[in-house]
Amino acid sequence: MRSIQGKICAIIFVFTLFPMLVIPAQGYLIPLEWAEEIEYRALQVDQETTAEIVVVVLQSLTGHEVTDKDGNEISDIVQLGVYIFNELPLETYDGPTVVGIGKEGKDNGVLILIAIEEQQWRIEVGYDLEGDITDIETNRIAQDYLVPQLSQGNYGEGLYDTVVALGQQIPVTNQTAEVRGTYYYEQYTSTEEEVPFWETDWFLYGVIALMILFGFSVGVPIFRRGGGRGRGGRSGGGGSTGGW
Amino acid sequence: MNRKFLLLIVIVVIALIVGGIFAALYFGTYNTIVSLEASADAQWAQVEQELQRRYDLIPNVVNSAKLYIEYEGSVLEEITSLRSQWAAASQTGDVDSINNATGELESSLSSMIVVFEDYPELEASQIVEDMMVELEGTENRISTERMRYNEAVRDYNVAIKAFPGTFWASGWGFESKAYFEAKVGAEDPPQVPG
Repeated sequence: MRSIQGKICAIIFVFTLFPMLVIPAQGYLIPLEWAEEIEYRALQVDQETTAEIVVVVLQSLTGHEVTDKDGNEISDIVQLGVYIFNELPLETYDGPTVVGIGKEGKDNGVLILIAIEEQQWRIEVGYDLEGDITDIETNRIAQDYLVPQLSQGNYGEGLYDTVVALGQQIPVTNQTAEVRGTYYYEQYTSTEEEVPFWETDWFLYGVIALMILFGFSVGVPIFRRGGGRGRGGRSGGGGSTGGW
Repeated sequence: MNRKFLLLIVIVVIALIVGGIFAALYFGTYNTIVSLEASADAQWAQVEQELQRRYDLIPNVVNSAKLYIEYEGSVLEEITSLRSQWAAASQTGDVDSINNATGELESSLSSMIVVFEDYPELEASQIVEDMMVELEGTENRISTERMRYNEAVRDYNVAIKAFPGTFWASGWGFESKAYFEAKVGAEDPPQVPG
């Protein structure tokens, strides 16, 4: 369970140090209560099964600026799902980013990706869970829990029900592993408010530069940005896709 | 006498250093190429596994479709015969012929999906929907693994053509590998109808 202080620190940390595209739960695109419910449920699944169910909500399949290796924005939801699952660094609540959903070597991740404008969903399943959650099962779960709610505009509830249903497919294990801690991500739209200058990156870099110049030792978290937790699980296009 | 001895030592040390650097470069390059080749081969095995998955799936798709489609038998027959051609190409293990057979099979599967969309009762069938989901998942897996194979091949091909590998690679018996290209009509994996 994460503490309230941890959460506040995480939010401050994320806002100041990670002005990246996809940020942990803020609840702009879905109600905050549902984002928290999703986080809580996914954390339980992680604790019980070590599997990681990650939800990513995008406003649109264009303009998200997630690019492939040649620098082109990925607008196909299947390819985007594979890329987010395997290549995109995603922040975790205590700072370090992790590439790959699921635990390394176990490949036990699940990604639920929705694009609101295009009304498309994608469930991508990690290699090792393909037996527990077949493509047909992902489609049925999506048709039963996700699509009806999405078509009503209840994004949060639909995503939560889908996380629950997918979580029930994954067998409980005695093994323990470090939990991921953050499971809900959404497209960050910076147009909502002006960031004051003391919260901008450049100001921070200036402060860091000054601190270094004056021989201060800089707090460890600042240097975590590039480090990351390393590699997580992998997937290979398993799962299903559809619209609502 | 003493000076000569010193000179000899200096020459020997320099020779050792240069030789050491050369040996490190030589064996390092060899090891790099070997490991890149191994990962390309491993990735090719992944591609073949997914192609095999599609091969195994086709009879199920065709049989469940046969229950509903009576007048479009030619499409199903074509798929069945292309499936056999693919199997023959797969036996040869040649990337180019597998590539060709795969492309033809993919475009005829796409045309089958189009036919399916003309039959509302077919779309309503749970069995057919499941089949389509399976087929779609398989196509997505193939394109994902194919992309990774091509990336692995690119890394390998660059390593044997770039400095310093280019001097030694052919002597070591490494040849550039063929890419596994997606054919026209195969870029878009079939979608679940509806």
